[in-house]
Amino acid sequence: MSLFLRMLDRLGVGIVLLLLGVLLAFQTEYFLTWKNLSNILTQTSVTMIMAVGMTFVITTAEIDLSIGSLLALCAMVSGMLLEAGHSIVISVGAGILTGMVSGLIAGGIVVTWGLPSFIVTLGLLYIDRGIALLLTDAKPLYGFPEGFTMIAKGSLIGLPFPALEAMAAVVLGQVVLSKTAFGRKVVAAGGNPVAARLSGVSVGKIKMGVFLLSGLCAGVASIITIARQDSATPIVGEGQELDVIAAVIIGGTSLFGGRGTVVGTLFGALLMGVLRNGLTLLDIASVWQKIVIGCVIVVAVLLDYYRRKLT
Amino acid sequence: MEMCKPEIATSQTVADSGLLLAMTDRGLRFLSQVIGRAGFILGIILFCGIVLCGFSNEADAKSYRIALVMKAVTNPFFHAMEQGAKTEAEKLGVTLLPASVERETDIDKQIGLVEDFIVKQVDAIVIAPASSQGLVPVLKLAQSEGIYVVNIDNPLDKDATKQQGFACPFVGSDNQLGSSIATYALVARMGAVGEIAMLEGIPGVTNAELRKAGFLSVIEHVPGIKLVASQTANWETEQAFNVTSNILTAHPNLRGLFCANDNMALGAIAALEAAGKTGEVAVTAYDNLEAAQQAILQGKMFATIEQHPELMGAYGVRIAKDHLDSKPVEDYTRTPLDLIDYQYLVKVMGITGKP
Repeated sequence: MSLFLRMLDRLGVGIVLLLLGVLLAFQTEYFLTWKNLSNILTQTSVTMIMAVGMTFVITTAEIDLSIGSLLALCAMVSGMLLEAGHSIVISVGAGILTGMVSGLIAGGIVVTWGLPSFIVTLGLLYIDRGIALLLTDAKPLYGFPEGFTMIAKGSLIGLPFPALEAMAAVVLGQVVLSKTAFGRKVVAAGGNPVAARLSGVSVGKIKMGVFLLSGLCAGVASIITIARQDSATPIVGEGQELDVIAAVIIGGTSLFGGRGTVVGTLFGALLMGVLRNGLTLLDIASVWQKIVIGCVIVVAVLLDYYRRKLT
Repeated sequence: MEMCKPEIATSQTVADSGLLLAMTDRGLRFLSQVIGRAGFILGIILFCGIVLCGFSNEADAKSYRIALVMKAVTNPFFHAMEQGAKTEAEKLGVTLLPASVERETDIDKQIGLVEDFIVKQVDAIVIAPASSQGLVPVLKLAQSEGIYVVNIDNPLDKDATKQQGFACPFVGSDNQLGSSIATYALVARMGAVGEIAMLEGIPGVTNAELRKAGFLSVIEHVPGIKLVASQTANWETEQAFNVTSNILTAHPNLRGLFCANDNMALGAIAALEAAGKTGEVAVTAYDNLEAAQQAILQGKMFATIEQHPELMGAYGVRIAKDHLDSKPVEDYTRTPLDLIDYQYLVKVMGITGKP
């Protein structure tokens, strides 16, 4: 491939995003306002953080369907502790720990028995949601301390905290994926597990690691969710795993494993966020969002297919 | 040896098609190399452009812009609400901007809708909140930006609003009263004796909890009535079918069933039919959907509650307009409740059903 094509390949979704932004700026006066842009960042932050973890999972050619339910479970755990008067640090920590434990369980079962993660995490999707409903007998919790809701309501130099937290997750994720031994092993384990094993990579441990990471991200995302809503309900996050997977795929991470980009995922999540926001600003019925996003996903997977054939 | 001949014959065709395949493949590779990404980008932009240009409509700059935020596109209840609001908006000469999330559980997306309307600087937001607690912070934000907020249908949680220091007028029916009326009619129909069950809405949602409370408040005063099961079917027809089937298996002597909405009642009726118990178990529900009316006319269902969603939408818009015109408004507007049974349908509404 020529350098030009390679650059296009790298920046593809980014360019689409940019052009879409330009188009929207001409269509509606509200789009290109600082407030609207920071809204889009806030609205996509939860999806984005979970998508960072999902990028790792998909890069190893696995999938994690449980994160939407896990988001609710972590939210309820943190919410209960906050309501019981525990400190913010303990409540937040417990929520994130819950996510990590669920991730470890998923990874443990997948690796130990060599089962498809699709099925295992599908099971966890039900289990986590069930426990979330069970914890408070399905009642929502609300009225958290001011210091806690600042996690979502605060802002620094005009940037809302959730946006900053999501950006931090993306930067951290990309550095881990491309600059550390763990990241390179993730790519190796997904691209060619046999070769990876032969060259001394413990594929099992790596897979445990990515599921742990995915659970951790769900935990962090749950904190932002409940701080933003100033309440925790067990029905939150239903179906959100699909948004997250879509963001990762549109971003250019290969469903077949061995190729992942966290920055691409960022663009994927933003593309969906901008589409949603733009269509609302233009008073277009929400069903169109689905059709457009669906087309983008299919095109992204087709591209991935031909990219694999080329290399 | 015998099998060789046909194989030779086909191998030539295979070679041909192989060549063809290889050519197609090379062509596709070439295509994807040259116009792969560029084509992708152009395609998306073109598509979005068509969609956006085709649908964008400039609002009348002079009239008030009032957003109507609803919570489930598939529920006829919200169609009626939107229709009522639209008619009223036309009458008052304001621009209505309706928007809805897909499912009642899309809390985060509904918050996003409100944020988008804040950016659009609408004059008022009329909202049926997906969560009685979760929407409070963003609505407070909207109010602080000078947007007038009217809460319709599902009331915001009193404690949550008090904690946040938020207040706005409410338009809706008294859900607890409505379900008490429905339950009272059901109990009367049962002759005040026998086993009764309830299908609940999504647990924790205010409307669902109020309807459950209304149901319980009636049956606890009737000694002859025995509550044998109360389970959620999450407002959904299909889940209601399964839950009802299970309840019937466990309690074959069931005589009455109260469903917290008509969607669930439709599933329950189907389950009764499958069990051959149509007419043996009296069913009452909530919402007065057309399908429920048909079921009542066919004798499969006893009664339902009409809570006039079209009036919720219309009153919501009117209150917003009144406030924007600096007229005083009521804090709490109750929409009327009607018990719809066979007599009501035939005599009052003049509906006789499909032949």
